[in-house]
Amino acid sequence: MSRLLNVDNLETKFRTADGHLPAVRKISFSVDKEETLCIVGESGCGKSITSLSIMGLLPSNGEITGGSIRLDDENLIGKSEEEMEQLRGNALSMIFQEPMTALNPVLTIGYQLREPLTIHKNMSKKEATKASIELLDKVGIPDSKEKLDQYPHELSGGMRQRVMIAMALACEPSLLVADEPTTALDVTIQAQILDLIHELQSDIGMGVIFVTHDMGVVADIADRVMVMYAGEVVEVADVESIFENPQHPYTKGLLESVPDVDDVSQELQVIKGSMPGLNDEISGCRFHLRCPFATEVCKHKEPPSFEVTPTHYSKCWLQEVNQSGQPDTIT
Amino acid sequence: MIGLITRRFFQLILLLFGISFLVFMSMHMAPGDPATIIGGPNATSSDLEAIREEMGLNRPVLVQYFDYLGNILQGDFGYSYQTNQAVTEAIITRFPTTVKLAAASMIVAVIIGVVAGIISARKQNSWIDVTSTTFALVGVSIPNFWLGAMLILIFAVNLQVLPVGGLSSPVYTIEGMKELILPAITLGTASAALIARMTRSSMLEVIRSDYIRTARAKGVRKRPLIWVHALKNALIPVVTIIGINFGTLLGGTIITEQVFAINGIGRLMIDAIAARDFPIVQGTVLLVAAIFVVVNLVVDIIYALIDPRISYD
Repeated sequence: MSRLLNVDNLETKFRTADGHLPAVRKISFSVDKEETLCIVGESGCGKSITSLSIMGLLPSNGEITGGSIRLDDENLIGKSEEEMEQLRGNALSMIFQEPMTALNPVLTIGYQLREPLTIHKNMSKKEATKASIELLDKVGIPDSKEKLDQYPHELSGGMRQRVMIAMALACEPSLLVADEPTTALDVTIQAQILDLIHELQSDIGMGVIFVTHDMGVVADIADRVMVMYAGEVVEVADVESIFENPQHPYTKGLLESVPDVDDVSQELQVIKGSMPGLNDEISGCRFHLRCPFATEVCKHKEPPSFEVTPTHYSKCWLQEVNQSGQPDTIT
Repeated sequence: MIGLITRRFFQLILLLFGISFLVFMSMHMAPGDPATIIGGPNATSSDLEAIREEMGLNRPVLVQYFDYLGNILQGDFGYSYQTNQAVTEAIITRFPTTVKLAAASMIVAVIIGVVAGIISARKQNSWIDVTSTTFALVGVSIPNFWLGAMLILIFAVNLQVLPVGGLSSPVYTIEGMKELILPAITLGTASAALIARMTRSSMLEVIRSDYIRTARAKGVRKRPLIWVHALKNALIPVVTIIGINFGTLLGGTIITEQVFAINGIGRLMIDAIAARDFPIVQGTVLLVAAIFVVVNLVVDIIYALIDPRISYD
């Protein structure tokens, strides 16, 4: 499989009253064709900003200040707004968290669905309407023809998210960025939407970046998992390794804080403290203040990304201890 | 929709009853006696008494009011004390002039206001935005009579490119257009400023909304993004402002009509108040009130056209 997306040393900052604050701190990752990469982390860790950086849809006070984002070997950083417009909705698509507000309330479903087709595929209105009906059928919306003349408020949340997915996939993108697309939906609808994304992914053969904080969703759909904390990638691994052999104390903390419905006596673990703000400069490892295993070195020196296996990396000094043959302190 | 219109129609009738009562009472409580104006300076007290007797002015006020009400219901709004012209006729001859002025001002205000508001929002904090918001602030702050006087001074007296006043030529003639320019700017500036400010803030809010981000994620180009996706949403509060302003413009042309010597409803009203010409004052105030209600109804109907989420059924 060839690399579809290569993000290298991406740094995104926000202009605020307190100066330029980094929200994403030099992160690197890649996505293959037909692969699903889950970005996991708590609110404010930079996962949404990472996906908006890829799309070139940062809020007006945000800007990419370093690194590269290569889609099919083409660097997206430095592209003009017009060039990005040609890519967005075409090779590069995104679905958002809030289906209730993500669709334009004063335009019909049909109008909004036809748009990517008329913009990128040069379809006439008639052709686009026909394609839209097929798209709605594909995402499982009944009476698709009538739905075209309806407005978003006439549809339920799950239906709206299906419309969003249909819109995002209209031009069969090579990369889909999904920013918590199921968070606002109830659990049964969530499962349906996940299945739908998975099914369409294998149809089109696209790569998916799936942003979530729900470990259940991760287990369901991820091929690989990238854990983010305070603007950094702390651990990357295939989904089995993340669940069965997590290395970074933060990943372990995340997994331990997931309730187990079968274990009534389980006491839920928490990660002590809270995530640092964007402007908090922390020396050494950014997690050491909350880490139960922190040592002297963690306080002063930023850990590099250690290779656990060729597909598993952890940004933690504990790896050095492990790799240098010393007793394994984290179990 | 038909339900809404019927409902509003009955509200209008109730409202007009209330307003007619208030206006009637306040006119009769105000100092000044129409008999002295009709009789002239040389009338004796027995002359005045005779006039009051003839016009029914010495009967109890409530009796006079119900009498008036009875006549209104038959379509008779009374006759001017000064000219003996029927009130309906006086209004019908003057009303088109005022509508022309108000409409011209509104067109000026909407075009300038909406365009300036959109540009301001698109280029937030740029020099265009700063200039436009400054003008908007100045625009709402300038009193009408001063602006009118200054415009006359500059364009009519010094440059002599536009007429000083009057609004008698038909609109479709060059003369008619020229007559309309200064009064329309005078009357429309404040509304333009208000509309510009409203459009700007509403647009800024819409531009940051989720659905605009969705549209951008689809690759929608800048122009359709602003003019299709954003504007329709941003216009909803702007329509309210336009509606309220249009009502105010129609009723509030008094000062502008005075400054430019235009014979519209505003002048009719102010002359009638000065002359204690009760029937004319009552007739014009009722008209202005009715216009307000109708304009508000039109605004509500426009809402439903712009925003599919609003339905009156």
